[in-house]
Amino acid sequence: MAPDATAKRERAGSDNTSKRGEVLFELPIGAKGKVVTTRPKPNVYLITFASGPDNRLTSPFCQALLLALDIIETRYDPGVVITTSGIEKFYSNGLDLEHASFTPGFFPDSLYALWRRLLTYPMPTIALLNGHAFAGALMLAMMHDYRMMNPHKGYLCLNEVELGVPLRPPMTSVFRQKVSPQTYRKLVLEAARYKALEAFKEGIVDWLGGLDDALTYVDELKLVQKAGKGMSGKQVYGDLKREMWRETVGYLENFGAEDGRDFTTQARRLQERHAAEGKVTAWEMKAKL
Amino acid sequence: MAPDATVKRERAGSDNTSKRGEVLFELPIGAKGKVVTTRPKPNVYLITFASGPDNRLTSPFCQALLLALDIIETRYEPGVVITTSGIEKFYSNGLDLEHASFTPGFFPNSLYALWRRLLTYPMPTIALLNGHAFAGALMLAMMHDYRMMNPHKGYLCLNEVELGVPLRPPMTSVFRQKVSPQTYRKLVLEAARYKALEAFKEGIVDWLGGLDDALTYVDELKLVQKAGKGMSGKQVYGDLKREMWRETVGYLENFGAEDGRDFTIQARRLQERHVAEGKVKAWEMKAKL
Repeated sequence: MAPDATAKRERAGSDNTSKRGEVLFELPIGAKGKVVTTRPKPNVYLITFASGPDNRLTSPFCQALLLALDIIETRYDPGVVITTSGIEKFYSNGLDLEHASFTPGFFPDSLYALWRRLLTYPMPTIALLNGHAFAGALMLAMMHDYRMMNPHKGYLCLNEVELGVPLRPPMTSVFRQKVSPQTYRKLVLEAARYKALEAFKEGIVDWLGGLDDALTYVDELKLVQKAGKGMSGKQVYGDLKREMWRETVGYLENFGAEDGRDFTTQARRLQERHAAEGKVTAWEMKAKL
Repeated sequence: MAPDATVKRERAGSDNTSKRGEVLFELPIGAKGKVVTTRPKPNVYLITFASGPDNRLTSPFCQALLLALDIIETRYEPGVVITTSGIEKFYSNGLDLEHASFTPGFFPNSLYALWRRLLTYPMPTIALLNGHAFAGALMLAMMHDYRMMNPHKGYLCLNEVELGVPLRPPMTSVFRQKVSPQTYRKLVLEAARYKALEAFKEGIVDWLGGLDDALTYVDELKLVQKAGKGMSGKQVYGDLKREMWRETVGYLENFGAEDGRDFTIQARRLQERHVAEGKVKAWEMKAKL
């Protein structure tokens, strides 16, 4: 490894004491951001994204990650993918709501495409949470197979109830499928802010530590081998995940159905509200007699 | 508060040491029962139902609760709804099976309507279990967001397997969505009778205590604020719940589909039994050769 490359890696974000490995390729995110893919050990691919100030999940961000995942799958040996942030304070601060609302095709072509790709990726995936992961960023982390969190840094939170923003079907579905009902309720309805230890105790994250710890778990769980061919000669890791999480995959593949369902739900709610008003008015009139 | 009103409240049912608050309105249940809605603190609504001897979930009972929920939503400020029983021994003893079988439209218009309303209610809901909650009553409690149970009184139980009565889709679905698979199996297939501490440990209830404790949790979790508008100006609490529990909401909204499904299942079971008989006979005949 060239001395320059080592210095450059140690400057970026957290985990300076671990060896990120040789740089395999870099991709731009917009004008100033960057996705760097390195190989810290054989068949383990570390994707470090940095799009200041806080790694919002914009179209360019999602497209860069999608391309990185495609390059790894088609040009490198099957193994394990770890994603992390090159910005020390944040894994990501979630969606840019304005960008999401006004970019045509953002949900189906960028956000849901990235989430779907991770959820069904034919290699084990680990989200290495070096810092905060809020809302859409926590959802991104949940689309991975495993989550490792810095024990001393960062909060996890779904704050839609405080923002007054509804959650779309795949956004709730992934939690419904991957955490306990009690944790699910706490996340969605209480907007609980989880520090690392709590998140670990409740199973939102699987391990506490950094890159070195993640690499150790990769060995302990033989995760590289899981991406390989089974005794039948077939590689089934991605297929297994697609079937395991079929409900969430279904929502991620059917963005078009959301609008129709929203419309029906809205109509039903208006009708229910109208009926409620009618019943209450009738009761009030009877009370006056 | 008028001295008369205070005396009247302390006579009713359990939790005599807590202040139930001013009476907002009362609704009859049939000829002798009553739903009383009080306000123990600002923006917290306590619905106390009493329909002797054991609060069966009849049409009049369900309709009275539905009207109370409508009045609170349309005539009072967003806050928290707590439901409890004015009959000390029972939260409720569940359905009146004869009434349920012979009352036209009972399921879609009364029982499922009440359950659906609670499950998607645009304010946090707490079932304050002062005593026993069996079968349909436990389901009613599960339709709330949270469950508080008297630590020393009452059992929770689903005894359909002992009664030889099947469970309809939303009845199992709410447990499947809100408790662990192991607890779900224990409830449905073992008809386990849970005392309060066990129910708490397994997550069927969230807290042990009475009204005062419930009011404390309301403050700790800032539940009143959760019912209000978010930063977007929209109130999304009910929408979040509708999406979270969409499977159960779907069953509660589609009572008509149950009959068709039942018919198909019956036909399939007969066919499977017929095939099994045929296979076994063939095996017996081969064994004789």
